[in-house]
Amino acid sequence: MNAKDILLQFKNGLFDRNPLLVQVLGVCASLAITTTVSNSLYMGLAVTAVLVCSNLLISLLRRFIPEQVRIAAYIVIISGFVTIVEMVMNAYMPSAAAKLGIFLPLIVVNCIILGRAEAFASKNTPLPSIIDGFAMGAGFTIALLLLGAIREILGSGSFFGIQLFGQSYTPIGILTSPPGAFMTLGCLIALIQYLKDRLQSKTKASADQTHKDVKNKEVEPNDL
Amino acid sequence: MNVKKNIAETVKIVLPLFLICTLMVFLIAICNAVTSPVIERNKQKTFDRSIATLFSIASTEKLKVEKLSFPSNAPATLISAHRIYNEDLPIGYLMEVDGIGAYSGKIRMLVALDCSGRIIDLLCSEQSETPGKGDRVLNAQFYSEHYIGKSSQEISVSPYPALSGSTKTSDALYSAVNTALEGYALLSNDATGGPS
Amino acid sequence: MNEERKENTLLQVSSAPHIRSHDSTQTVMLDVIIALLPLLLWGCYIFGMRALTVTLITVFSSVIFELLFNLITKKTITVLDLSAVVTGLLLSYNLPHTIPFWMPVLGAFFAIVPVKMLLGGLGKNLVNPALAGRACLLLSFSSAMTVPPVLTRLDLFESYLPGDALSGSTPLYTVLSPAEDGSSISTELLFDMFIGNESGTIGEVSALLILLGFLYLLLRKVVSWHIPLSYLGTVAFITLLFPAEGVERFDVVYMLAHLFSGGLLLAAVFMATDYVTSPITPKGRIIFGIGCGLLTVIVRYCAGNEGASYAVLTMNLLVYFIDKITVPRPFGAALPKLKIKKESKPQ
Repeated sequence: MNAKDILLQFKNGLFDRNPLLVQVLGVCASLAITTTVSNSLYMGLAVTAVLVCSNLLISLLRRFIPEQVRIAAYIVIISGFVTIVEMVMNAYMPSAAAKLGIFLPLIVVNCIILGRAEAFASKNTPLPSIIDGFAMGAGFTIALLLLGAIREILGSGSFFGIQLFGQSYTPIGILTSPPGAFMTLGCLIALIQYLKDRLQSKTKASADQTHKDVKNKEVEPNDL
Repeated sequence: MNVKKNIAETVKIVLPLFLICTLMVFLIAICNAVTSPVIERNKQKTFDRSIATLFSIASTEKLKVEKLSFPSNAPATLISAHRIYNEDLPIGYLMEVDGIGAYSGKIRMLVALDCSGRIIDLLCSEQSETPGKGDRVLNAQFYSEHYIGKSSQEISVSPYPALSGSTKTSDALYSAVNTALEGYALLSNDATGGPS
Repeated sequence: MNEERKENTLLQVSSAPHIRSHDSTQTVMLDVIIALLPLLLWGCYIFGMRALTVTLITVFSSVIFELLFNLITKKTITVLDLSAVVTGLLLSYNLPHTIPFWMPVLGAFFAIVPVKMLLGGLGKNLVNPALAGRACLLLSFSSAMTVPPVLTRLDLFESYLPGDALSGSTPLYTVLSPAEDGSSISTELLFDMFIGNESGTIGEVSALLILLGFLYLLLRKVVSWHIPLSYLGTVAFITLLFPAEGVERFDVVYMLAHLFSGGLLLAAVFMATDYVTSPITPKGRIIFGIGCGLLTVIVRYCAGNEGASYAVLTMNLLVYFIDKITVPRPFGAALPKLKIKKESKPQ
């Protein structure tokens, strides 16, 4: 475990394998709550917290969990941590918890968390698992913040609840509604694919050496 | 032999799962012990604060709230009713009501009434109306124009409070206020819990 | 242009069919524009010159967005087929003349770029671009998209200040919420609706001119009768036999008021008949029209709003399936198995 690996993991989480924009996981909650930037931030932090805790525990118990019931075991662990996060938020950030509403407990079924448990934490030691949780959580949070920022600025004319434009500004209401969420997400996915293509052709041109695969044994989380 | 092996297999699977469950329950229990008093206090605080704003009282220290039970023929949209005391003097009633027929879902209103059944103030505690359209009627200006300071009779004779483009939300608000006033009337007829 | 010259100079050997129509996208679109123009003139007459400004802005921005998209993606320039002009015209006909000038630009962008060009341009779009643009604007700016209840005339660049619009209602609203005392819609109001002497969006008010446009398109064989007639027939049938509460059955005035009010006629004649987003076979077209009619009446009855645009949009999405179930039997192809069995039984 050296600095280069950690950097690679973060690059994966933020860009190459961004959970929302590249793997397109956890879309339901993302589309529903990103009407404002502050909601996106709270959601991203809650998911990151659950992701880090569940990754840690699952990787600690990875030899203890029987193969046949691993999904059930993961779900028990994940839902436990989601309950804990929900309690903590209700106690110390009641307004944020009220805003997220039903989508806070629904983190249990967020595919990112189960996906990382299955694809990474169950096959790696605790330290890389924690780092993976942070990296993926950061990638998810940043994607949510982007979505939330675009939707809040154009859709309600504010940022973090602060009105940006004067009274004369008419917000584009469709962006705060579900079709607007789909369109914004589509545009962001298109953008990141474009960037990836550009980057790939650049690296190909500069060096013949093929891109080294991730060192850690990672499986593509299919049909999760 | 085979049976024994099967049982051993099953135990091998079930036992770890059981232990994991126990561990998680233990963690949740610890968390609950820490957070539940805080959550309870938060709830009480928000309730007190909304009462304070509704009845415009500066400090919530001498506030006393008595939950009232209403008769069985009360409308289903009447969620709860409280009698509010400040410094041991009854200052009015707080009705929690749902307005039905709103544009999207329901709206939940807190309606503060004084002892004679006049509306002191309104507060919307739950709504999901269209921002900039339906929620135009859920604000202090609209309330004060059409509802505040009025009694049941006055509301029934004054012009119908609605904004064009927000008719449905206006209807829901109207139904909520009427339910609250109806609840007050029911309570005042009821000798045990009533204001008379 | 180039293709035409090639056609004339080169001897072509091609497989059947050898009869070719001289119609191109351009001529078809030109016919549609000719059918649409009287509506614009009427709109300018009834709403003042601001209607013209809104229309010009929408048309120009539609064309410019298509041109820009062509240039940026380095594809062939397709603006000369005039489809962008038709999209712009139809979109502006669906807008109230009081709308702020920048909103039609956004609507045109939505109609042209995401709805039409990103899916591959004309012929590949799933839904009618003009209607999608209108839906986008309606979802975004519901108050600016609300038609002023009273007929207001505005000059070229005059901006509209919504007053206390608490009273008054558009004819459509009068139709949708029948008077409580049971009195039906007056014949004068019906006549106004037919002529177009009422408030509404720029191009929807005059039923007479829309029907004349329809007649022109029929005579030029640009559209077939199937979709508009089955669409309007369904609406007429339902409003005649199952009118809203408070209206007597077989009230012809009520039925006609339903047909002439709102954007129903405009949608039935010009939007639902869009080649790209309507079924190919006559049978499919009739199913499409009936579906549109049903949805329109359901929205009008249940939501108290004009449902024509959403009805057509919804049915547009179902065109693929309608086409699939109404595929005609190719000439010489075997009959379906079931029929063959029946024929072979007597032997």
